[in-house]
Amino acid sequence: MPVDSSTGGIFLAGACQGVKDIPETVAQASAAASKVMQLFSRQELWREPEVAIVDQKHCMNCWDCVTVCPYNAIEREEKNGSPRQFLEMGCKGESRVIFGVRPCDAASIGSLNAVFSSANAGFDDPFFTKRRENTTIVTYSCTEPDESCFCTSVGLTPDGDRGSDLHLTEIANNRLHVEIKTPAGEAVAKIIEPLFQGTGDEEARLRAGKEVQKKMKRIRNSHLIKGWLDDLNNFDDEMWARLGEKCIGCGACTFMCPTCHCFDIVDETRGRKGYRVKFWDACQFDHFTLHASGHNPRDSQYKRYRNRFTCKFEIYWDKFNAQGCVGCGRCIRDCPVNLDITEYMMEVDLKASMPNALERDPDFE
Amino acid sequence: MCSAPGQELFKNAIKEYKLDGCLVSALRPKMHEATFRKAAEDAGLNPFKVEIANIREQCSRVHDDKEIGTAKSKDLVKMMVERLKYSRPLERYQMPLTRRVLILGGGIAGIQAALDLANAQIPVSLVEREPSLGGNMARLSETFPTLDCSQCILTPKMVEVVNHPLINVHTYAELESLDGYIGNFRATIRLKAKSVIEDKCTGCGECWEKCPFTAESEFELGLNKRSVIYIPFPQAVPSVPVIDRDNCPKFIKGKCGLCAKVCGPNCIDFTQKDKIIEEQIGAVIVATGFKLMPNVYREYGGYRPPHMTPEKLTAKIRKTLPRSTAGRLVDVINGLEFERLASASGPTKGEIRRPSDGKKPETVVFIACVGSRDCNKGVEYCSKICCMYTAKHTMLYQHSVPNGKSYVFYMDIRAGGKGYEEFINRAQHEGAKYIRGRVSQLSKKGDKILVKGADTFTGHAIDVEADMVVLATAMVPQENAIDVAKTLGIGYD
Repeated sequence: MPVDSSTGGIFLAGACQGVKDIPETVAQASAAASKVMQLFSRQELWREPEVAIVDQKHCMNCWDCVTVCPYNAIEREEKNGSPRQFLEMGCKGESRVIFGVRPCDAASIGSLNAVFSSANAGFDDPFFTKRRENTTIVTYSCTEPDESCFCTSVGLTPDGDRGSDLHLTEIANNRLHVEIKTPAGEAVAKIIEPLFQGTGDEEARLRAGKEVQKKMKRIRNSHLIKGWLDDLNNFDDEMWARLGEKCIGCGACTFMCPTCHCFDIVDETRGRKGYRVKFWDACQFDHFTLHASGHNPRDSQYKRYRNRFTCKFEIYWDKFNAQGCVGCGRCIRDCPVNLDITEYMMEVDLKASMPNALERDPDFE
Repeated sequence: MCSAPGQELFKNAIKEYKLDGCLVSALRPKMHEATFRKAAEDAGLNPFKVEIANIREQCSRVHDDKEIGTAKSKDLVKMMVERLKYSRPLERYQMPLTRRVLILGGGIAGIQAALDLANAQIPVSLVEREPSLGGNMARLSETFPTLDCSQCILTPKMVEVVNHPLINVHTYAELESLDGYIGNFRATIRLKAKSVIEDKCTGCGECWEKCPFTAESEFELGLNKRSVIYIPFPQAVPSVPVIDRDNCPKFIKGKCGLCAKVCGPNCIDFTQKDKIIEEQIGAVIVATGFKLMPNVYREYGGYRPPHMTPEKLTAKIRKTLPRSTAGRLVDVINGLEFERLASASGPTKGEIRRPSDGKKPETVVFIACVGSRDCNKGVEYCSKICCMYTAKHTMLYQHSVPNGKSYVFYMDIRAGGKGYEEFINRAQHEGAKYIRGRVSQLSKKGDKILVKGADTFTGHAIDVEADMVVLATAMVPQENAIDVAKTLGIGYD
């Protein structure tokens, strides 16, 4: 019968450990007593010398170790400030450069800006906007789209410069064509001025861009999608259930997506202090819209995927006037069951352009 | 490698090459780190210069792809070599040890552990929250499967604990905090103010007999009243009363003080304050016990407001309710309350009478697994003892009311243990009707309770008009068990 607790020197006896009747309780009490006798059978206690230490250089004062240590062995020393200060430090942050951002990702930051800054959303998220202000984005045109990329299908290009501060494009002879887009980009360009040689080659850059565009393998039409989605009759279309059947709701697509931004805010306690924590959430999870009553408007997985698709191609435009899907192809690449967002796009496009063409033949297949 | 010849190989290699560090790339360190460290120590190497790269559980067992697994094991070995470069020889060290045990809880578990330890010459501090030792076992009338008198077993042990020279009993006390580590704990214990000077009190009983005010008895689970200065039950140990300050008019209005006038040895002290004491101890035994799951009645349509526990009801509302502890069907009681009704020292002196009007119940329905084995309505686990005590209750009832009818609604009978199944059979022979099925609702019908149930063997719905219903309620930890676990720093679920 287990009488040990997780902490050395503390033993358990009786019904506090688990349900038991009186004979078992008495037996466990005697067992616990004999464990103590074992411990006290020597005059002194031998201790193992291996102990954990805190690496002061890398400790970021989250104090989680203090909370979880069952021996209360870790003492809190307010040396570098409390966790709250740490968070604010992270926000103020020193300015930084993200180098080599692909055009689709750079475009997505513009979309997130629409969500988190006051211009469209009516509220400024300081965590996002401060970081965005301090960040300079150096984009790098794609040279080799893979089979999942579909940025041209949503109105972007593999050599596009939306959301970019400084844009680089590979042209012939291992040279880069540099375009300065914003003052922030100009500041970065000044720093790296010694690296520049010669003048830019506008023509070669356009040519390079066109060549890459030709390599795109996945090309869909997206301009009819929003109109089709706006029609509420299509909300219960049979295609949602048919295509979404295989989705297992793992949420990989939402976690990889550069424009997915849903979050939740909860109040957490750590020891005696409380913190308000913001963390990412995902519409693909079954409790995402679960009401307190137990009712869930999106009660099956295909409805959740429908929400994701609608969010990208309709809600984003309506709510934030920004592009929802940037065609990075991550959700296709990382889906464990090969659910393909472009398949939806194709189907919707067909339904929108030829409303009666897609009557499914029951004998077909 | 971990076999005896493998160990020998390991030792010989250390000796032969005069190694100053060893890396074993084999299995998980949790299993054999100690083995190899011991071997290294035997061969003259500091045991803490031995490291283990776990290439079994982390590589070969988990990767189907051999190449990836091999590459990962190489990485692991490289990492452990780097670690070994930094590791320093360490020495085990000795710590002093305080030979004293703290036992939390003065129920049968705490009492047994305290006696075992004290008889082995280890000093014990026993902390009990209530004014008397005994715990839940003191409430029981008889024990299964032998139908021995519970108090006859328990009371001598309680007396032995109090009289033992090595056991220091703190009743009406609670653990405030625990610092330190194995062998060297420091416990802070709050001795709640009893308002009675313990050393002077002779336990004559003059005060609690004369006390003109009453409150609900916790020991009798609200089935009876006790005086405001009280001992929980007549056999209480130590036989020193405490004043319930929440209900005593001396503390509320400053009037009365009769107990101080009648006390011969003059030991009532209304000014007493809580005392905090510190004790150095070496080990702790937690024996805080259980309680029965509260608020199960709503499962059967009882008319207590569902979000209200009896503690939350104000005194005014309580008065309007049929019985003091509950706003529910008055004659629906739980197992422990039945124990009190059946107990010779209980409120009915051992005669089974129902709480509402004191009538002898002619039909009693026992419902098993109330709150147990159903995570939606209670706890997921089986409370294990209910099958047995329900059988015992039917027997006690049949003995008390020979012509009475008893029905047991059960899910299945779980009676593993010496003499347990025989005990169930005996209960059935003595007249209990066992019906396999659940009860869906209890409702009031005249002065009876209508039990709507099902017999899953015949497939019929069964209605029983019962005079009293006994619920075999789930066992759950004490309400502050989690606080205790946090104070002690031990894991809990």
